[in-house]
Amino acid sequence: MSLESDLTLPVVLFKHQGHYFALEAAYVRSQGSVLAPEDPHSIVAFSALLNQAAYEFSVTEHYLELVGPSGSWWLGLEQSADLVELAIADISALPVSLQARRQFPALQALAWYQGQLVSLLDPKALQQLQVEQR
Amino acid sequence: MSESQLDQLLAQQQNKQQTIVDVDEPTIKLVVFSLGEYHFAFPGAAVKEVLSGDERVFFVPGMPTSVEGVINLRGDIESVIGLHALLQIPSPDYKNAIQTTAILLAHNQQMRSGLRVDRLLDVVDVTESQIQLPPESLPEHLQPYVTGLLEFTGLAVSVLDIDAVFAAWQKGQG
Repeated sequence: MSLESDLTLPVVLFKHQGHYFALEAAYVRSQGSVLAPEDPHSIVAFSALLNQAAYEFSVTEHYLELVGPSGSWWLGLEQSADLVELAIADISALPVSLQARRQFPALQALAWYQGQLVSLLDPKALQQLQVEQR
Repeated sequence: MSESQLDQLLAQQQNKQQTIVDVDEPTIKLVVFSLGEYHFAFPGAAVKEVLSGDERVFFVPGMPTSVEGVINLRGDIESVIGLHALLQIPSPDYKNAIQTTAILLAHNQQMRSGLRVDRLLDVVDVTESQIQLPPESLPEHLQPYVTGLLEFTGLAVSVLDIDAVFAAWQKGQG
Protein backbone atom coordinates (compact mmCIF):
# COMPACT_ATOMS: atom_id res chain seq x y z
CA MET A 1 0.00 0.00 0.00
CA SER A 2 1.37 3.41 -0.92
CA LEU A 3 1.30 6.45 1.25
CA GLU A 4 0.00 9.66 -0.31
CA SER A 5 3.51 11.06 -0.28
CA ASP A 6 4.60 8.23 -2.59
CA LEU A 7 1.81 8.78 -5.12
CA THR A 8 2.48 10.90 -8.15
CA LEU A 9 0.55 12.40 -11.04
CA PRO A 10 2.22 12.39 -14.46
CA VAL A 11 1.94 15.84 -16.01
CA VAL A 12 3.34 17.66 -19.00
CA LEU A 13 5.13 20.71 -17.65
CA PHE A 14 5.87 23.82 -19.69
CA LYS A 15 7.13 27.31 -19.01
CA HIS A 16 5.40 30.43 -20.27
CA GLN A 17 6.75 33.94 -19.59
CA GLY A 18 8.71 32.65 -16.62
CA HIS A 19 5.82 30.77 -15.01
CA TYR A 20 5.25 27.03 -14.88
CA PHE A 21 2.08 25.40 -16.14
CA ALA A 22 1.14 21.74 -16.41
CA LEU A 23 -1.48 19.53 -17.98
CA GLU A 24 -2.33 16.02 -16.89
CA ALA A 25 -0.28 13.77 -19.18
CA ALA A 26 -3.29 11.60 -20.03
CA TYR A 27 -4.65 14.51 -22.11
CA VAL A 28 -1.45 15.05 -24.10
CA ARG A 29 -0.97 12.87 -27.17
CA SER A 30 2.27 14.24 -28.54
CA GLN A 31 4.69 17.12 -28.70
CA GLY A 32 6.23 18.67 -31.80
CA SER A 33 7.95 21.61 -33.40
CA VAL A 34 6.03 24.21 -35.35
CA LEU A 35 8.73 24.03 -38.02
CA ALA A 36 6.92 21.01 -39.41
CA PRO A 37 3.34 21.13 -38.18
CA GLU A 38 0.63 18.97 -39.65
CA ASP A 39 -1.61 22.03 -39.87
CA PRO A 40 0.10 25.26 -38.81
CA HIS A 41 -3.16 27.23 -38.85
CA SER A 42 -4.73 25.02 -36.24
CA ILE A 43 -2.19 25.84 -33.53
CA VAL A 44 -3.56 28.13 -30.82
CA ALA A 45 -0.92 29.97 -28.81
CA PHE A 46 -1.17 29.39 -25.08
CA SER A 47 -0.67 33.10 -24.48
CA ALA A 48 -3.80 33.84 -26.53
CA LEU A 49 -5.82 31.60 -24.21
CA LEU A 50 -4.21 32.86 -21.03
CA ASN A 51 -4.73 36.49 -21.93
CA GLN A 52 -7.92 35.82 -23.89
CA ALA A 53 -6.73 37.94 -26.77
CA ALA A 54 -7.18 36.61 -30.28
CA TYR A 55 -4.18 38.47 -31.65
CA GLU A 56 -1.89 38.10 -28.68
CA PHE A 57 1.69 38.17 -29.95
CA SER A 58 3.67 35.17 -28.89
CA VAL A 59 6.56 33.09 -30.12
CA THR A 60 5.26 29.55 -30.50
CA GLU A 61 8.04 27.23 -31.53
CA HIS A 62 6.54 24.09 -30.06
CA TYR A 63 3.14 22.56 -29.74
CA LEU A 64 1.32 19.96 -27.72
CA GLU A 65 -1.30 17.79 -29.34
CA LEU A 66 -4.11 17.59 -26.81
CA VAL A 67 -7.06 15.24 -26.74
CA GLY A 68 -10.43 16.42 -25.48
CA PRO A 69 -14.17 15.95 -25.84
CA SER A 70 -14.15 17.80 -29.17
CA GLY A 71 -11.24 15.83 -30.59
CA SER A 72 -7.57 16.71 -30.94
CA TRP A 73 -6.22 20.22 -31.02
CA TRP A 74 -2.81 21.90 -30.92
CA LEU A 75 -1.55 24.21 -28.20
CA GLY A 76 1.36 26.47 -29.16
CA LEU A 77 4.14 26.93 -26.60
CA GLU A 78 7.22 29.14 -26.28
CA GLN A 79 9.44 26.25 -25.23
CA SER A 80 9.36 22.48 -25.33
CA ALA A 81 7.54 20.69 -22.53
CA ASP A 82 8.69 17.97 -20.14
CA LEU A 83 6.95 14.93 -18.76
CA VAL A 84 7.33 14.99 -14.97
CA GLU A 85 5.77 13.34 -11.96
CA LEU A 86 4.12 15.65 -9.41
CA ALA A 87 3.79 14.30 -5.89
CA ILE A 88 0.10 14.15 -4.98
CA ALA A 89 0.99 15.68 -1.61
CA ASP A 90 2.32 18.74 -3.43
CA ILE A 91 -0.93 19.39 -5.31
CA SER A 92 -3.58 21.67 -3.83
CA ALA A 93 -6.97 22.81 -5.04
CA LEU A 94 -7.11 26.48 -5.92
CA PRO A 95 -7.83 28.35 -2.66
CA VAL A 96 -11.43 29.59 -2.38
CA SER A 97 -10.11 33.16 -2.35
CA LEU A 98 -8.58 32.65 -5.80
CA GLN A 99 -11.37 30.52 -7.27
CA ALA A 100 -13.69 33.46 -6.75
CA ARG A 101 -11.49 35.84 -8.70
CA ARG A 102 -9.67 33.83 -11.35
CA GLN A 103 -9.73 35.45 -14.77
CA PHE A 104 -8.32 32.36 -16.49
CA PRO A 105 -11.05 29.69 -16.26
CA ALA A 106 -8.65 26.87 -17.11
CA LEU A 107 -6.68 27.38 -13.90
CA GLN A 108 -7.71 24.41 -11.80
CA ALA A 109 -5.12 23.76 -9.09
CA LEU A 110 -1.66 24.67 -7.85
CA ALA A 111 1.33 22.49 -7.12
CA TRP A 112 4.93 22.70 -5.97
CA TYR A 113 7.63 21.22 -8.15
CA GLN A 114 11.30 21.62 -7.30
CA GLY A 115 10.54 24.70 -5.22
CA GLN A 116 8.54 26.38 -7.96
CA LEU A 117 4.82 27.05 -8.20
CA VAL A 118 3.03 25.21 -11.00
CA SER A 119 -0.40 26.20 -12.29
CA LEU A 120 -2.31 23.04 -13.15
CA LEU A 121 -4.70 23.47 -16.05
CA ASP A 122 -8.04 21.86 -16.76
CA PRO A 123 -7.74 20.45 -20.31
CA LYS A 124 -11.50 20.61 -20.93
CA ALA A 125 -11.71 24.27 -19.89
CA LEU A 126 -8.65 25.02 -21.98
CA GLN A 127 -10.24 23.39 -25.02
CA GLN A 128 -13.41 25.39 -24.43
CA LEU A 129 -11.34 28.58 -24.44
CA GLN A 130 -9.73 27.45 -27.69
CA VAL A 131 -13.15 26.87 -29.26
CA GLU A 132 -14.32 30.32 -28.12
CA GLN A 133 -11.13 31.85 -29.47
CA ARG A 134 -11.82 30.67 -33.01
CA MET B 1 11.50 70.87 49.63
CA SER B 2 11.24 68.51 46.67
CA GLU B 3 9.32 65.26 46.80
CA SER B 4 11.19 62.19 48.00
CA GLN B 5 11.59 59.23 45.67
CA LEU B 6 9.02 57.42 47.78
CA ASP B 7 6.55 60.26 47.29
CA GLN B 8 7.12 60.15 43.55
CA LEU B 9 6.73 56.38 43.52
CA LEU B 10 3.50 56.54 45.44
CA ALA B 11 2.22 59.30 43.16
CA GLN B 12 3.00 57.21 40.11
CA GLN B 13 1.20 54.24 41.59
CA GLN B 14 -1.77 56.45 42.36
CA ASN B 15 -1.86 57.64 38.75
CA LYS B 16 -1.65 54.07 37.47
CA GLN B 17 -4.55 53.02 39.65
CA GLN B 18 -6.61 55.87 38.29
CA THR B 19 -6.01 54.71 34.73
CA ILE B 20 -6.78 51.07 35.39
CA VAL B 21 -9.87 50.09 33.44
CA ASP B 22 -12.77 48.13 34.78
CA VAL B 23 -11.55 44.54 34.43
CA ASP B 24 -15.07 43.23 34.28
CA GLU B 25 -15.73 45.08 31.07
CA PRO B 26 -15.45 42.81 28.04
CA THR B 27 -12.28 43.26 26.04
CA ILE B 28 -11.51 42.53 22.44
CA LYS B 29 -8.16 41.80 20.85
CA LEU B 30 -7.36 43.91 17.81
CA VAL B 31 -4.61 43.58 15.23
CA VAL B 32 -3.77 47.16 14.33
CA PHE B 33 -2.06 47.99 11.05
CA SER B 34 -1.58 50.71 8.51
CA LEU B 35 -2.39 50.88 4.82
CA GLY B 36 -0.90 53.97 3.30
CA GLU B 37 -1.70 56.89 5.59
CA TYR B 38 -4.71 55.13 7.09
CA HIS B 39 -4.94 52.93 10.16
CA PHE B 40 -7.13 49.89 10.47
CA ALA B 41 -7.67 46.91 12.74
CA PHE B 42 -9.16 43.46 12.46
CA PRO B 43 -10.54 41.65 15.49
CA GLY B 44 -7.93 39.17 16.69
CA ALA B 45 -10.36 36.31 16.15
CA ALA B 46 -10.21 37.01 12.41
CA VAL B 47 -6.42 36.82 12.25
CA LYS B 48 -5.02 33.34 12.59
CA GLU B 49 -1.37 34.30 12.27
CA VAL B 50 0.88 37.26 11.47
CA LEU B 51 3.58 36.44 8.93
CA SER B 52 6.71 38.32 8.03
CA GLY B 53 6.39 40.65 5.08
CA ASP B 54 9.39 39.07 3.37
CA GLU B 55 7.72 35.66 2.90
CA ARG B 56 8.37 34.58 -0.68
CA VAL B 57 5.22 35.17 -2.69
CA PHE B 58 4.74 33.22 -5.92
CA PHE B 59 2.88 34.98 -8.71
CA VAL B 60 -0.26 33.23 -9.96
CA PRO B 61 -1.08 34.01 -13.60
CA GLY B 62 -4.62 34.88 -14.59
CA MET B 63 -5.56 36.75 -11.43
CA PRO B 64 -6.56 40.40 -10.85
CA THR B 65 -3.78 42.77 -9.84
CA SER B 66 -4.97 42.80 -6.23
CA VAL B 67 -3.84 39.16 -5.97
CA GLU B 68 -0.19 39.27 -5.10
CA GLY B 69 0.18 35.50 -5.35
CA VAL B 70 0.49 32.55 -3.01
CA ILE B 71 2.87 31.49 -0.28
CA ASN B 72 3.94 28.06 0.85
CA LEU B 73 2.97 28.02 4.50
CA ARG B 74 4.29 24.81 6.00
CA GLY B 75 3.21 22.91 2.90
CA ASP B 76 -0.16 24.61 2.53
CA ILE B 77 -0.91 27.09 -0.21
CA GLU B 78 -2.27 30.40 1.04
CA SER B 79 -3.23 33.33 -1.17
CA VAL B 80 -1.88 36.80 -0.52
CA ILE B 81 -4.12 39.68 -1.52
CA GLY B 82 -3.95 43.43 -1.12
CA LEU B 83 -6.78 45.51 0.31
CA HIS B 84 -5.66 48.82 -1.15
CA ALA B 85 -7.98 48.63 -4.16
CA LEU B 86 -10.97 47.49 -2.10
CA LEU B 87 -10.47 50.29 0.43
CA GLN B 88 -9.49 52.76 -2.30
CA ILE B 89 -6.05 53.50 -0.89
CA PRO B 90 -3.11 54.15 -3.24
CA SER B 91 -0.87 51.08 -3.51
CA PRO B 92 2.69 51.52 -2.29
CA ASP B 93 5.78 50.29 -4.07
CA TYR B 94 6.46 47.15 -2.03
CA LYS B 95 9.80 46.57 -3.69
CA ASN B 96 11.10 49.48 -1.67
CA ALA B 97 9.16 48.82 1.50
CA ILE B 98 8.93 45.04 1.86
CA GLN B 99 10.86 45.08 5.15
CA THR B 100 8.15 47.01 6.94
CA THR B 101 5.17 45.08 5.63
CA ALA B 102 3.43 42.10 7.15
CA ILE B 103 1.00 39.46 5.99
CA LEU B 104 -2.04 38.84 8.17
CA LEU B 105 -3.43 35.35 7.67
CA ALA B 106 -7.11 36.18 8.02
CA HIS B 107 -10.09 33.87 7.91
CA ASN B 108 -13.82 33.63 8.28
CA GLN B 109 -16.20 30.76 7.67
CA GLN B 110 -16.12 31.18 3.89
CA MET B 111 -12.48 31.73 3.03
CA ARG B 112 -8.96 32.32 4.26
CA SER B 113 -6.23 34.49 2.82
CA GLY B 114 -3.09 36.35 3.61
CA LEU B 115 -3.66 40.11 3.60
CA ARG B 116 -0.67 42.32 2.84
CA VAL B 117 -0.54 45.34 5.13
CA ASP B 118 1.95 48.18 4.93
CA ARG B 119 2.90 48.01 8.59
CA LEU B 120 1.79 45.99 11.59
CA LEU B 121 1.42 48.50 14.42
CA ASP B 122 0.38 46.39 17.39
CA VAL B 123 -1.80 43.64 18.75
CA VAL B 124 -3.79 45.13 21.62
CA ASP B 125 -6.58 44.30 24.03
CA VAL B 126 -9.12 47.08 24.29
CA THR B 127 -12.41 47.35 26.12
CA GLU B 128 -15.49 47.35 23.97
CA SER B 129 -16.36 50.81 25.24
CA GLN B 130 -13.16 52.14 23.68
CA ILE B 131 -14.55 51.32 20.25
CA GLN B 132 -16.91 54.03 19.09
CA LEU B 133 -19.48 53.80 16.34
CA PRO B 134 -18.17 54.91 12.95
CA PRO B 135 -18.72 58.63 12.42
CA GLU B 136 -21.17 59.81 9.78
CA SER B 137 -18.27 61.58 8.13
CA LEU B 138 -16.63 58.24 7.30
CA PRO B 139 -15.98 58.07 3.54
CA GLU B 140 -18.78 56.28 1.74
CA HIS B 141 -16.49 53.63 0.24
CA LEU B 142 -15.36 52.57 3.73
CA GLN B 143 -18.80 52.42 5.30
CA PRO B 144 -19.58 48.81 4.31
CA TYR B 145 -16.42 47.56 6.01
CA VAL B 146 -15.90 49.69 9.12
CA THR B 147 -17.72 48.61 12.27
CA GLY B 148 -16.11 51.01 14.71
CA LEU B 149 -13.53 53.65 15.42
CA LEU B 150 -10.80 53.47 18.01
CA GLU B 151 -8.27 55.98 19.23
CA PHE B 152 -4.94 54.22 19.53
CA THR B 153 -1.82 56.14 20.58
CA GLY B 154 -3.29 59.26 19.07
CA LEU B 155 -4.25 57.58 15.82
CA ALA B 156 -7.76 57.12 14.51
CA VAL B 157 -8.10 53.41 13.79
CA SER B 158 -11.01 52.02 11.80
CA VAL B 159 -12.06 48.54 12.89
CA LEU B 160 -12.84 46.38 9.87
CA ASP B 161 -15.38 43.58 9.51
CA ILE B 162 -13.61 40.58 7.97
CA ASP B 163 -16.92 39.11 6.74
CA ALA B 164 -17.75 42.28 4.83
CA VAL B 165 -14.22 42.52 3.43
CA PHE B 166 -14.15 38.92 2.22
CA ALA B 167 -17.72 39.05 0.89
CA ALA B 168 -16.85 42.11 -1.20
CA TRP B 169 -13.67 40.43 -2.39
CA GLN B 170 -15.55 37.32 -3.51
CA LYS B 171 -18.05 39.49 -5.37
CA GLY B 172 -15.21 40.90 -7.42
CA GLN B 173 -14.61 44.20 -5.66
CA GLY B 174 -11.06 45.35 -5.13
